[in-house]
Amino acid sequence: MAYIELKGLKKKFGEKEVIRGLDLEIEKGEFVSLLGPSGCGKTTILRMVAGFVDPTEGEIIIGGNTVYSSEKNIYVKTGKRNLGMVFQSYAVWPHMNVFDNVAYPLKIQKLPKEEQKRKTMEILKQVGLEGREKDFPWSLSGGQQQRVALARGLVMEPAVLLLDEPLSNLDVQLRQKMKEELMEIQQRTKVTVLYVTHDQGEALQMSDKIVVLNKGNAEQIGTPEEIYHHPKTIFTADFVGKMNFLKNGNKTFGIRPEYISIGKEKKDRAYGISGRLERYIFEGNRNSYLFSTEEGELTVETPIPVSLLKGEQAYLNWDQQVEFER
Amino acid sequence: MNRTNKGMILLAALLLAVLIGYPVCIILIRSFTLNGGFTLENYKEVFSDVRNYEALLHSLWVSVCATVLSTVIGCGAAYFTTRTDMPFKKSIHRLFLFNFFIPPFIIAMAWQQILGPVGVVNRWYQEITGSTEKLVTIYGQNGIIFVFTLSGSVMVYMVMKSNFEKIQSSLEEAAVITGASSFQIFKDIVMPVLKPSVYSAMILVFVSNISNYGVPSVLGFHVSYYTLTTRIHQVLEDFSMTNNMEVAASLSAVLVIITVLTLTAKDRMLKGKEFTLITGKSEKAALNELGVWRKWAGILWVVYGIFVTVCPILSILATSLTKAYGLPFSVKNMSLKNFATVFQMPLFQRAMGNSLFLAFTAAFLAVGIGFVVAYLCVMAKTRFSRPLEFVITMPGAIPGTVMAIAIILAWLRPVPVFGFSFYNTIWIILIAYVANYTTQAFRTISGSMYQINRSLEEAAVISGASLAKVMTTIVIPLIRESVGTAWFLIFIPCLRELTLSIFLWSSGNETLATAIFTLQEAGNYTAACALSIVIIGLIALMNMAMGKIFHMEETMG
Ligand SMILES: Nc1ncnc2c1ncn2[C@@H]1O[C@H](COP(=O)(O)OP(=O)(O)OP(=O)(O)O)[C@@H](O)[C@H]1O
Ligand SMILES: [Mg+2]
Repeated sequence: MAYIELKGLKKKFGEKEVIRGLDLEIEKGEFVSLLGPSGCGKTTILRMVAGFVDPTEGEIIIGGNTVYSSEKNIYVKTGKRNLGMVFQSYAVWPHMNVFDNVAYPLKIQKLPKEEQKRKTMEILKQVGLEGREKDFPWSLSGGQQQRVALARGLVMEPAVLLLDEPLSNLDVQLRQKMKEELMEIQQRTKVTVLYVTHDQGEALQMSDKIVVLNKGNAEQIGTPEEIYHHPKTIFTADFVGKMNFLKNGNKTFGIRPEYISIGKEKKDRAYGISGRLERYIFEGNRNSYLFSTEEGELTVETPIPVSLLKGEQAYLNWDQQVEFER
Repeated sequence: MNRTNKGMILLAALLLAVLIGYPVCIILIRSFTLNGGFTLENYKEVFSDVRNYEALLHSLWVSVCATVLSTVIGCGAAYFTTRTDMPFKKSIHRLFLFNFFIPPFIIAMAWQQILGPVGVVNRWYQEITGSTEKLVTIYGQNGIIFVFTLSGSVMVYMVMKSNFEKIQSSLEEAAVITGASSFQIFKDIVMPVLKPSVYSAMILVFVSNISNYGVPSVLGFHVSYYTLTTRIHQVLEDFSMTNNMEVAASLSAVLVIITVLTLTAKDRMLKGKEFTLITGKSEKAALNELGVWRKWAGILWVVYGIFVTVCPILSILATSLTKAYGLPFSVKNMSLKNFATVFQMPLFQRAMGNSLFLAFTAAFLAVGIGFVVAYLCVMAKTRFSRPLEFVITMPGAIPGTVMAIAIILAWLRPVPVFGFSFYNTIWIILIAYVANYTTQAFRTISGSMYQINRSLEEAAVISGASLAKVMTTIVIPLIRESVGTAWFLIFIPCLRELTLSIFLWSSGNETLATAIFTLQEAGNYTAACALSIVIIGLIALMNMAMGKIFHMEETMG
């Protein structure tokens, strides 16, 4: 049995069905991302796991314990589910210093003072906040506050750490740095993570498993590689990464821009089509070419520029494509 | 700095200097002067006359007691209406809100008629027990604390309710996750996070209590219980003293020192602690379930709301409808004749005319000055902005009583060149209103100017618009609402203004509040109450008008 299981989870707010039957299994120590556009129900799922929102139907099992079941009428209170959580707004308590913020969960669990101190200092070291324990939140940067929130979520060694778009309030550079740190800390602590994001880059980089959500349905569950290279639906293909779609009869084919190579003539590859260069965009680390073909438009991305003028014909070749029924 | 701004700065500086700076300086100077020379005599007299320092102690004692009590009650009310599943929340809120429409001195009068020596409660007690003893007395220290507590609790409720609602729910959820009980969360998270706002509310209430004139004068005079404000009035009218003006000025200085110290202490205390409580998009925190106590809590707070708002109004209404004061309240003793009498009184007609004129004009002038200064301080920042802001916000720390003394001292003698004295005319009241309320206009308007993005204005300037064009086409349309609100927020309190008027009115220049006061001091309670009902109705009407015009859900008069 998996470490965490969501079975047939449904949620209605009034008449509006927000989650329409979600099944998900998470192994111990796994990093799982919930990825989807705004309003698809990511936060709702996370809050159901946390116990802040009651599912309309279904079952939630954490670490072998059923914490929610509509059928068996089981409801375990949030505080008893052994969770850690990091909020988008950090939710670092403004009136407590760093140490008190992080030690609070231990205090509530009535651990001996010595133990509290030892564990708190250890986790602060893990997140790189040594020496800042006497500081108050207003004197910390956004990234540091985020780390306090992370330490507070981890200090109880929870069964699951829940994160709701924790990086979305940080600037681009800090976000990259925190992403790497988060992965490192997760590997060190081996904590199981359920991570909500609408940023495909974050999900692809960090996760062991991604759940792509669309309007309350799981479109696809799989490893980042599966999601990227073998998307099962057009929605997934379009939402994660860039994808060209070519129509042929009642079939649609998806080709990633970087799969395609540009040549003067047809090469010995699985697929090919000729096209006319319409637009060229220089993007620094890569070059993007837009071609028009008789089956639709194709974007091609290559790290090395090709010498081709606008309006010229070229032959486009690729080996790999995804087929969607429609 | 362009020429238009220069002219505006000069005009604003001149106005503020004459209106606020001059009176405040005069009061300070006079407190240190006797027979034309510098002296500390007046202060010596303040602290050697038992009556003076008794008044000081009384002021501090009633204000502190009432502040503590109203904080406890107000925070409780705010907690129950925002954080629990108690029923009747809307009605409770309405009851509290309506309390703002009743001026404090009218509330004091109302309770005087309920709990006074010939009030309902004592009469019933004597009828039932046959004794001639009185069960309660509203006069003196306890009565003043009682009335202050009721009004203060409403103020605290209003402030704390919005703060309770503003706490970001994730702060609490972060504690729920750890397994903390709802009591622990309240104790460890909610209360500490709200502590700065509780302090703010307490200081607001304390300063409002210690500056209040109406309540201690209604409930203190009869038993010679004086607070600083009423004592200042007494000294000012004590013509047996040779230096009554100077001693009144010194007493005023003492009062101002207390308010300024308290307000500074508040700023110090809150520095760096202004936690951001702004709600994200996360939903509201779950309500605490009261279980079996649910209904009882609701009933308790409804009863308190009735106590605070309905009781005083009913009491005033009952008196205003009885044929003669002291008659038991019954249908056969009821009539509308008091209203008829009041409407026919020349005093009423004068007072109504005066108050409407004063409130209207003062609101216009104060908003005008407030607007110009706000523009200079917020939008056209120059090195004169800070001094201007300092002067225009000064009245915020000066109790009305002190302002009145300052205005008297400043305008008692004929104005040089013109050879005309404002004293004993309606104009001195107007000057006092404007001086006192420009702070409020400035705060409201500058607050909304801060919200205007500089780029909106700059975009107009870039396209070649003149200052006048920028003002009329960009700035004014953007802050029109807040200018309107500022006008109402001055118009309404001026309509019922007592503290300044009581020092400055003269025969023929009465205001509504001083008319009520004179009537009630002359023992004409029925007429005083009828007039009070008229004022309360007028204020409620104006508040409704303001709410309608500006689509505001709730307003404070
Ligand atoms: N308490 C609620 N009452 C009613 N509707 C709600 C409630 N909470 C969420 N919803 C609705 O449920 C849907 C999913 O909301 P949710 O917050 O889970 O989306 P999300 O995927 O987290 O979006 P975002 O990326 O914008 O955070 C939305 O349409 C939202 O309006
Ligand atoms: Mg969300």
